[in-house]
Amino acid sequence: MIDETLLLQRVKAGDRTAFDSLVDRYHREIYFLALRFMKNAEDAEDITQQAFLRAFEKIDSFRGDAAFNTWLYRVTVNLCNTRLRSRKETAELNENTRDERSQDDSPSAGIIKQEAASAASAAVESLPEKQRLAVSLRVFNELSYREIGEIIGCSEQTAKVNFHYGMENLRKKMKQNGTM
Amino acid sequence: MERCEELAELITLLADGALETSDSERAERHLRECAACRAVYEETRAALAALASAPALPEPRPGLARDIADRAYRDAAARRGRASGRTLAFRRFASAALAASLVLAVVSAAYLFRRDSGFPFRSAPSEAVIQAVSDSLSSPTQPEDIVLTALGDFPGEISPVSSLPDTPASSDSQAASALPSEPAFRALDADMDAVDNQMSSMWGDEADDLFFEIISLTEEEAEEIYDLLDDNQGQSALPLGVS
Repeated sequence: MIDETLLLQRVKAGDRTAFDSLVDRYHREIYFLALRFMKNAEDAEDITQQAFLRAFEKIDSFRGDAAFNTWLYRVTVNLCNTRLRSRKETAELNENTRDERSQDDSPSAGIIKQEAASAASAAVESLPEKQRLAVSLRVFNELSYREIGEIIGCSEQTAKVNFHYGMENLRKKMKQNGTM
Repeated sequence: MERCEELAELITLLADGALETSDSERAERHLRECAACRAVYEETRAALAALASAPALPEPRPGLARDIADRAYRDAAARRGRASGRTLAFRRFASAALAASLVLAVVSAAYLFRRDSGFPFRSAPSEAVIQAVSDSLSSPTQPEDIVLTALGDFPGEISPVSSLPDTPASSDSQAASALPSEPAFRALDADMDAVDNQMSSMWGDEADDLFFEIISLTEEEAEEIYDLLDDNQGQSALPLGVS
């Protein structure tokens, strides 16, 4: 795999294949991040597109203080938040997602495990924004607390605190709904 | 035995496998002595395991990566084309040489600069603009109203930010020093992106022209404002390498 710094230098120099490589490398994780926020493929695809457009437009000003994917994550999170705020549909989306998930769950031997997983995912979505981001980015995207801090605009220690309170609230919600 | 509340965060991080050795030993020592915290630890591990076993998300459609790259190049070509027929200030703006969040700083600095340093307005700003700027300066709320009010009804939802000075600057240097700080830039970044996107979707290429119409800038004056902004950027640590 080509070194990312070299790839970015080539993109800045106008090498289209280098940008293609960056998109190839990161578009899945950006799409999944957006999908967890937006809950539908159409929005997730559009946000992914917008995030890469933004990155491409601003690539010259990217100094490399953070990893490129961390920068891209932050852009994506901002785009998702902006869109969700403007629609004020967060609550409805959560309801729809829960409905879709319950319809998707098929009976099987692992149904209890699936229910717990669905309940845990739904509980994450109901957390306050920074706790939700800290838990989601840590568990689903396997980012370090330093990277999470860079994305949500806080220190590494604050990212840990948000993760802790997020997990505390998650446990309480799962106990309340009987999935723990 | 240490108090449970002092170790609660460490126990969560232990369950996550994210502790340094010394902290890990401290948390484990406490767990050996405290049944209640052991239960919390096990529940946290169970919750994390449940999350980790959530069904995989559906893959993006085939061809998405190709479409993203193609669109980026098409848009970049279109921007270059649009920029070629514009004034210097407009080109610098439209080419995104400045981050979107700086638009508001340009507007506010330009207004203060013009009003307080003797530059005459090329054309009189509308009463709506004057009122919006005045309101913004007297109470530091929703400075984007400077732009939005001037442009008429704006359908987007913009959350308030407080980033402009609440006292008028009396010189260009004061106008520069009054530019938004890093946290304000962070807030502005998201909000002004929304404004930018919405304006572009409503008015297309004319959106950027409207900004300059509002603040009534000539090329030279715009240059001065940009210089002020450039000077100030050295003191403003913009987030994550964006300048």
